[in-house]
Amino acid sequence: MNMQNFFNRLKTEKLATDERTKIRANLAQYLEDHPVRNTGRPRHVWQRSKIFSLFLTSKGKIPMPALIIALMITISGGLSTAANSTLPGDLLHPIKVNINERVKAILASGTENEADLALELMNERLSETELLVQNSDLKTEVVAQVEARFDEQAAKLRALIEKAQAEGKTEVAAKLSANLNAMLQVHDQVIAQLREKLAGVDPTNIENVQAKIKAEIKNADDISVRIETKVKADESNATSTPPIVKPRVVEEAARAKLAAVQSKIDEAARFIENKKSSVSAEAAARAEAKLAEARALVIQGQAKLEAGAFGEAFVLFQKAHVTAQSAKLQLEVSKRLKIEINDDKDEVRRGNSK
Amino acid sequence: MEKEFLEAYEAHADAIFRYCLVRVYERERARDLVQDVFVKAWNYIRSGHSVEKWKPFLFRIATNLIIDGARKKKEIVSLDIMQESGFDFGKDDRKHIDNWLDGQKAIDALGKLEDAYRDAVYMRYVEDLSPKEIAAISGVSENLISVRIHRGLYKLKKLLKR
Repeated sequence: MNMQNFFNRLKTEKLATDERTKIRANLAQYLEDHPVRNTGRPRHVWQRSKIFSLFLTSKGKIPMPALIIALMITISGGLSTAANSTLPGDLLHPIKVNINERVKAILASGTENEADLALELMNERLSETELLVQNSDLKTEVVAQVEARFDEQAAKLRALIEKAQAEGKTEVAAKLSANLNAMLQVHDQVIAQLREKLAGVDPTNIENVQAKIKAEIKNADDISVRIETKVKADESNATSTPPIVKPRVVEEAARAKLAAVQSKIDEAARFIENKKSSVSAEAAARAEAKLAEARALVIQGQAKLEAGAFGEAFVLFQKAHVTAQSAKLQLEVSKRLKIEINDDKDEVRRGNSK
Repeated sequence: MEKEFLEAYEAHADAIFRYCLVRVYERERARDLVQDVFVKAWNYIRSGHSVEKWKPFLFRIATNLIIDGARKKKEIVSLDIMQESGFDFGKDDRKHIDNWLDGQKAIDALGKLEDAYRDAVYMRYVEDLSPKEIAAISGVSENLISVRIHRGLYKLKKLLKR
């Protein structure tokens, strides 16, 4: 071997495709968990806010009555905490939405943190609606408020999914649409069941809310299909035009999805284990069966992955993600509302048609 | 920032892996080192720093990690011993056994050079880094690197002629 061949041979030493993909997926996860810190010095700009100006005179002094009000607010420090458990129509609900939740939104930085918060708040909006239905408090005057808040949150989630896609974070977009889809389906199912036992609530009020949820389910479905179609299209481009699109991209997406779904299944399993003593045996068994269904989908997906059908594997992992998330959410709602969730799709449909 | 970082990974992961493999002989360790190098690089960025030249920057981290690892383990097992104990060069994309054998020979020969010569020759001729960049990575003067490259190459030629 001459010197030139010697060095050329060394240059061909590379990471294997699966090694490279795995490290990249690990790094991508690390980046998401450890986003760039905002190192810029905070600029403390003194501005007199409208609220603060209530306490100031034109000369900048704080008048005595305002001091008394401020003192009262300080004493009643539990105001925002008390607002957390309110429902639409309650006096303190605007504090919950406009102050408490906005503070959380300001603190959440990075697409994934924003997405997690947006999902949490959507879950909160739907849980509030369920409680209103359960307590027969979904009055006509409250429905408009419920619908407006739901629309606002749904729009935020759509924007975040689009943002993740635009940033090339297919996995974040896929995870978000899967979690949203699972969440909407579980709440739709719960509201349908609650509706069957209702008395004292105008059915039109519930129908309006249900129609909105169903429209968002369809929207989340469409987004999932678009993401899956894109991954599959990348795969077919990769096999037909290898010099342009690397098959690695599709494989990476599938492997990243696998890692995400395994983490989701572990999270759901831990949740079920922790909560099963506080729900009925039937509810726990249903959640465990659903989790087993998710695990079976993962096995099918892994077989596709081994066979090199990365697009199909991605779709199966996405389904497994939705199923695992549903298992967790169903148990959570069962515990919170103290109801048995009927997982029979026919039952749900029957409930909806009434 | 994330995009630039992942592009740097795509561009330099193989080079860093190769360098680590030549230094530690063990594919699995080299692979772990690649991940550690990029994690350290990301931590550097997220603490507010910027990177002008990725390749020398990543090589510097890799060199430090390898030295730290060697200090901790106090064992750099020779290639011969590893091969005797069933060392597997690992699975990779190579299709031909001839290439695989050549690869072993190349790494084996390079491994017989002293560390300082090996690094200088490797970075200059395999990774195409300039003496100035190698000097920055190794923390020594550019002149010393030029001497090491020259002497290392001479020693390597003698080894390959055997």
